[in-house]
Amino acid sequence: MMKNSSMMFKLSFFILSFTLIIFAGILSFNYYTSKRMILKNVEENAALLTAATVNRIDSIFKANAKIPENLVFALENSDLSETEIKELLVSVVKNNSDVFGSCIGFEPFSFSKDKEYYAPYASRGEKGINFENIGNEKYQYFYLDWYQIPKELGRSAWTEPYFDEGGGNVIMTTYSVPFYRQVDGVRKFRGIVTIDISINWLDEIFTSIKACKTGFGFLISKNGNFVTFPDKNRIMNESIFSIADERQDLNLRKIGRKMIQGKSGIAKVRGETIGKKGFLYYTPVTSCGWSVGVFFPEDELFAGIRELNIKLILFAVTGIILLFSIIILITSRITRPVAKLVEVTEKIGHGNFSAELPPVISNDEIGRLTTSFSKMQKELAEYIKNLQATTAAKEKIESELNVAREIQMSIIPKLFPPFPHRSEFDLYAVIHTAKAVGGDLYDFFLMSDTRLCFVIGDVSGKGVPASLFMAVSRTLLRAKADASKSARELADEINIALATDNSSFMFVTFVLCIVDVITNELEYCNAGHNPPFIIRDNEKLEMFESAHGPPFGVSDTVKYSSCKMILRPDDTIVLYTDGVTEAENADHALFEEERLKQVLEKCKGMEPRGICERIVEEVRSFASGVEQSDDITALVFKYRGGARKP
Amino acid sequence: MSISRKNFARFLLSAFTCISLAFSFSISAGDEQKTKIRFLPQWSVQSQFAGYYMAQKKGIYSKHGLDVEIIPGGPDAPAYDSLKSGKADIITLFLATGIKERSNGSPIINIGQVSKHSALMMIARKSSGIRDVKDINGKKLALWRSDFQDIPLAFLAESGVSAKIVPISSSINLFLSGGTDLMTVMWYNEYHAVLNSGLNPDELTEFQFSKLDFDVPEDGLYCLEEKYRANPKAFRSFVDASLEGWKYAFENQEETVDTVMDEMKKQHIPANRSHQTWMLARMRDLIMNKTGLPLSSELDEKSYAKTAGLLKKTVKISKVPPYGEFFVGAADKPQGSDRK
Repeated sequence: MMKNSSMMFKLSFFILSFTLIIFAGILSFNYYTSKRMILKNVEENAALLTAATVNRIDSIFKANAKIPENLVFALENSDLSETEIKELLVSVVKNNSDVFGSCIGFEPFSFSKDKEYYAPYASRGEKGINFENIGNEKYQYFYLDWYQIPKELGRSAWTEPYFDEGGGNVIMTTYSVPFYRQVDGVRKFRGIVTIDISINWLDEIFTSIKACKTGFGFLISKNGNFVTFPDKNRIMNESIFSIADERQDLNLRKIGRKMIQGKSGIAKVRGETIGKKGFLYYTPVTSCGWSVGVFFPEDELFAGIRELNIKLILFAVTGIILLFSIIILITSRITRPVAKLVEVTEKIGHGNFSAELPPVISNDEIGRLTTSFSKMQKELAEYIKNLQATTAAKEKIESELNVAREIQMSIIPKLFPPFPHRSEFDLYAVIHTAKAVGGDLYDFFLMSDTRLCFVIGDVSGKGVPASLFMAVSRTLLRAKADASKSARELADEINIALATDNSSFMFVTFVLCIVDVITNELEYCNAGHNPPFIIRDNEKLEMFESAHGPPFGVSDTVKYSSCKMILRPDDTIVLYTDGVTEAENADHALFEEERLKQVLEKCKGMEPRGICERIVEEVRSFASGVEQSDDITALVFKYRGGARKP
Repeated sequence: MSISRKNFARFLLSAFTCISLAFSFSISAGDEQKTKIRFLPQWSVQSQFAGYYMAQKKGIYSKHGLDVEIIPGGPDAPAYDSLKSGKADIITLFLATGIKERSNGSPIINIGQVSKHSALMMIARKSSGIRDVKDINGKKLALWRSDFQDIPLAFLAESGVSAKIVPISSSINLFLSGGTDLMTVMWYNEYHAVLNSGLNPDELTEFQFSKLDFDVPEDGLYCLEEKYRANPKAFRSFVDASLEGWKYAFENQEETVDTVMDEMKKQHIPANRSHQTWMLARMRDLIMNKTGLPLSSELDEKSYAKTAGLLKKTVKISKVPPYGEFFVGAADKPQGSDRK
């Protein structure tokens, strides 16, 4: 999609996306940093807020704890009578307004040998102070928490809060202190001294804690039970863990564990659990091992940042809209001339070189591009004009070359069979010219009634010079070949004629053959040309390997030699040019003599025309479509013999 | 054959009792022809007895021709005492307690074994170094003073370990405050209360008796034998209706927990939903057969023999009451129930 979109779109898209990312990053960074700062403040404020409450609770608990500790001192250091104990307990309740009741629970038979249950107890009643021994068979106090826990732990302890026995809505807690006696040097447990205090005043303290608008404080006991809570139903019924369990809130359970372990901290709490999302600050009340929690609703805590953030987002949105408009403006200013240039380019592409370019307004990249484009447009028009002239000239040369080729070809005999009235031999030749004008030639003619001359040649180079040189060579051959000359003499003469004043240093390779049908003698001279083959019945294919001199035209002082052989009927002589053996295929492999040999092996008994065609066909199939680079020329002479002497 | 005078007198006495009992039942049947039954579960209201409360609330007892009054039990109203004194007609008891009472000559019978498994556990803090049974040796164990201590004691004896027993009433606070290393708990009750006091299961070593070859059934329904013989139909109807109540409770847990919570609040008992929900779910585990429904009130004879055997070894009960005498199940067809 992006690939085909306009530059304006791409530019706007990328700039806007990155701007948005940067904005989002700044906003979130701002949000989280402020949140962290606020949380830190909240923790500090909460610590201050709760410190007073905790101190107040601690001071009350600690002050009351002194009372039984003083009683213990009396019990451990003197033997008190029942009356003295009564007086002591009654005065404790009377003189301490926080104390609801006070008890001394003795171990069985520890106060006196006949008393299994002895737990004198003074308590506040409607009509003054009540006093009774609460221990009996039904109330076996030594199995109760207030007695057992300090006994087993060997230290004083506050009990879990409980409802007043009277069934009223008064929550109490008991402080129990163990006392001992030295018996025969051993410290022996003797009983527990307690005071019961009502803790309803805690409620008042906690309702006065204000955390934001709707936040609140609460207190949990050592086991996590709610001692105070805004929702009164939770008090003494639920623990922080039962709420966590009911709401499947593992995080709240973790917070609860930290609270009962006496730790301080601040933690996030889920909305479903406490009614609202928020943060819980907690800190221990060391005197009794309970824990104070203060809940801060998140929405109220972060109301300020939220407001700020909304404003920031509004600013950002406005900024982005502005930015967007500016980007559109700038990109359209940049891209409009470019779009115009594109339009003009398309016109130029269609051949309209006079299409008008947009005017150059500025000297920026676009302006410079337009200037260069205009220059290019002019140069291109000039170039095309030149090109047209050149092409016309070239076309003229090419047509002239074609004429030259036609002329060249016309001087090569093409009428077959060439000597229909001669039964002593048969001859066939082909020339397949390459694209450029080549320099191959062949020729044959009767020198006299009994002598036949046939040649094949190849001029060095290509093109018109080669073609002219070839025409000269052929004309020379015809001019010099009179009836009595031998092949060697003819070769010498042609060479001298060509080599003399050969200012262009051209040359031509030649195989010159003369057959005498009376004597059956073949004389041939090879001037630097590919060696011919002779096919003889019942014999191996043979190659005339002997060379008789360099190509004609190289040196006018060379004397050529020649070879002679007697022909038998059906002897076939094959002449060819390097267009055959050096034909290339697509892999740049050459046709080679060896392949030609194999082809010729299969041509035994065939007529000249068939052999020629076969050679061409094999070369073509070898090249398999690769363009021919040189003329392919072959001449096949078959001797039949049987001439009568004149 | 002659009947001795003493035996004759005993015969006369029992005949008289039967007649008078039958008479009293016909009176209490009232105008609506409903048999009045006072039922006392061995503890105060909680999900442990949810089935009975639901049977009453949903009119299942009434449908079975019963007018049931549920009297809350607890430390102030020991179940067997209430049965003996005539305060209650039917009570629930631990199987071990029932066997002990019967073997001590109390004329009670089990008319329906509701729980099929043991909910007893011993838990210890891992931090006290207890990882295995042998680690219990010499450690402080908080153990109930009630009949619930029989099986834990049998467990200690069978395991060949001895602990320093600290008898307690019913609170978990001594253990929580660190006053003891171990504590016996009920899976459905105190165990969860401990978790709801902030201890995590992975901090505890647990010995669950149902998995330790001490899987003895617990809550069952008991009544005086002679009362049963006087009106077996009413007692059987109570058992059937109670099972139906349990079935309803398990199928309607939300409603059941609501009912239990309401009942607890009425009686000023601290209650929280998390705990009662847990308890009901565990009761389901204890009451359900492996195959699920239908619920059964049968007392498995093998479990009976196993429980009795453990008691004989540990609390030295004088004799094991024969199964057929102790348990009167659904197979005991009420006589003359189809008067029409």
